[in-house]
Amino acid sequence: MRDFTRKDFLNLFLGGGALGLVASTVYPVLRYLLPPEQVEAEPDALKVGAVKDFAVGTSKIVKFGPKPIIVIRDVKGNFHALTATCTHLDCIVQYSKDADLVWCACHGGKYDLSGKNISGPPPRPLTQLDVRVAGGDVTVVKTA
Amino acid sequence: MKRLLMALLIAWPAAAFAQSQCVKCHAASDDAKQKAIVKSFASDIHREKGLSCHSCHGGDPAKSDMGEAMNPEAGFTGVPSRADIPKFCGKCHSQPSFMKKYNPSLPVDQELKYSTSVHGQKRKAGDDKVAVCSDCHTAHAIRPAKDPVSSVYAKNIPQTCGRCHADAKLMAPYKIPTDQLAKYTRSVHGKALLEKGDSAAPVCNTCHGNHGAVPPGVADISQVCGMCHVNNAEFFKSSPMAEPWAKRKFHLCATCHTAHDIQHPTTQLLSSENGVCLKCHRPESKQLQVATGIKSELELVESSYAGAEKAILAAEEKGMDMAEARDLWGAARMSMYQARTTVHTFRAQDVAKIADQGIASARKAAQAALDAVTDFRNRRVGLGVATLFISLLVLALYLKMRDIESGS
Ligand code: FES
Repeated sequence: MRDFTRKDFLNLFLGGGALGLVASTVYPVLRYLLPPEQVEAEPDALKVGAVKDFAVGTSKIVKFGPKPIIVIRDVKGNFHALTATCTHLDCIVQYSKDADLVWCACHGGKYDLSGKNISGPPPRPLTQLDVRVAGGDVTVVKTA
Repeated sequence: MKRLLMALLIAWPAAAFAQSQCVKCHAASDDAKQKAIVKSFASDIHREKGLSCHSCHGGDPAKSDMGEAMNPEAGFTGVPSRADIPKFCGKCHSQPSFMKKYNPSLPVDQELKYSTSVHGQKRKAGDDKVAVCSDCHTAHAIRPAKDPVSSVYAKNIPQTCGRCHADAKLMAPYKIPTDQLAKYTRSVHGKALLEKGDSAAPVCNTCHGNHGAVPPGVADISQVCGMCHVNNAEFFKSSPMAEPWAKRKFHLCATCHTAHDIQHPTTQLLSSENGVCLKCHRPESKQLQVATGIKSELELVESSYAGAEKAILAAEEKGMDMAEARDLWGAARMSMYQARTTVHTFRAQDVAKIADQGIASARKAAQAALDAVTDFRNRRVGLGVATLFISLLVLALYLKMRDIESGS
């Protein structure tokens, strides 16, 4: 049996090293160098579903970019979209079908369907967004 | 054209005011007080609306002869006595048809409300020192309440009321405390208004009323606080505490939170060592056990929430995207606020139900943050291993080349 020489050792090391390079260099280097996923940019418009997905007197919380918004189909069947973060202490607001208004479960703040703060602690209104209904789809559009 | 019209509209009252003989004489007077009146009236809302001295005090501003200008027979009323001031201002401010010309949305019930206030009642009983319109609004530098320089602008109200109510000498005959201003200033409401500039924070008149100012009674206080703290008031009304408190005529909110010195509530309020419950309940009582149970639930949700925030911040510092963890953390915060509000039901199981949801969300958020940090560390280790491999390869290549060179 042939002796395992320094040359053999180097050849083996070089071959194994080349493999290791592919396996362990490229992947972590790429992962490390690639920036983490970016927070989604705020879009100007977002399709939030089909009209038939919204029963009268219901609402849906959806993400408009990084921010939650509330899309409401009120008791008369009209659509409204508002930012869903309460202006008091940032809780997520809800739609109350019985009162036909928006309320915040944290401290009982109330807003009308245009987002105006009408009672309780919220100091400012919610921001209103435009809702366009076309071709059976509901799209929320950032107000100009 | 529009601009010219605007300029004329602004200039017209100023010109009319300047041409008034009252202004000419009083401005030229040796009496500094008279001069000051003319000067301060220049920025008064009444002057801006085209009114002048004679509009309130009567007389004829066209006459240069003092006797003629200030002839009582020509309607000159001069300076009203303090007792007459509400009626004096009410001449116009209680007239809907007159006020409509200037500001249709301005209320016209101030005089009526004043007559029901403690100030108005005392004045009716002959007390000449109580506040009248000019004490709060000033006499000749009146500005609308929305104007930041107005004495009745939200931020200025504590000082306006405090000018009398914090004056121990002035308040001595009424035997009422004079520490309200100091207490309000250091309260959670005072800090929100005066330090953070939150003009939605309540001031004196939010709870006491303005023209009809009275201290809110036992029955009213929950309504007053409940205007903003809606859930707290509702929960309390349905709590086992409502009935016994009504019987004992306790002030609904103020019994625990005080009236003017309201501080940001902490779980300390429920402490079995120095909490507010001990005012009525014994430390070993069943009620104190409930309070202790509520306190520990709140503390757990609060610490889970704070822990999640710390973990998220640590991950964000490393450049990791924590959007989803932030959503969970937001849900935890919501549950924490709701749990705090639910304290007013005084039912430990109600608080626990909501707090547990918050604890679960906070734990998930913290876990997501920890996972992200682990991911970050793995990447670093990966990079380290890769660098090591590269270095070894370079070394091996170098040795190989030396081998080849020595072989040839
Ligand atoms: S967070 Fe909405 S009312 Fe307090």
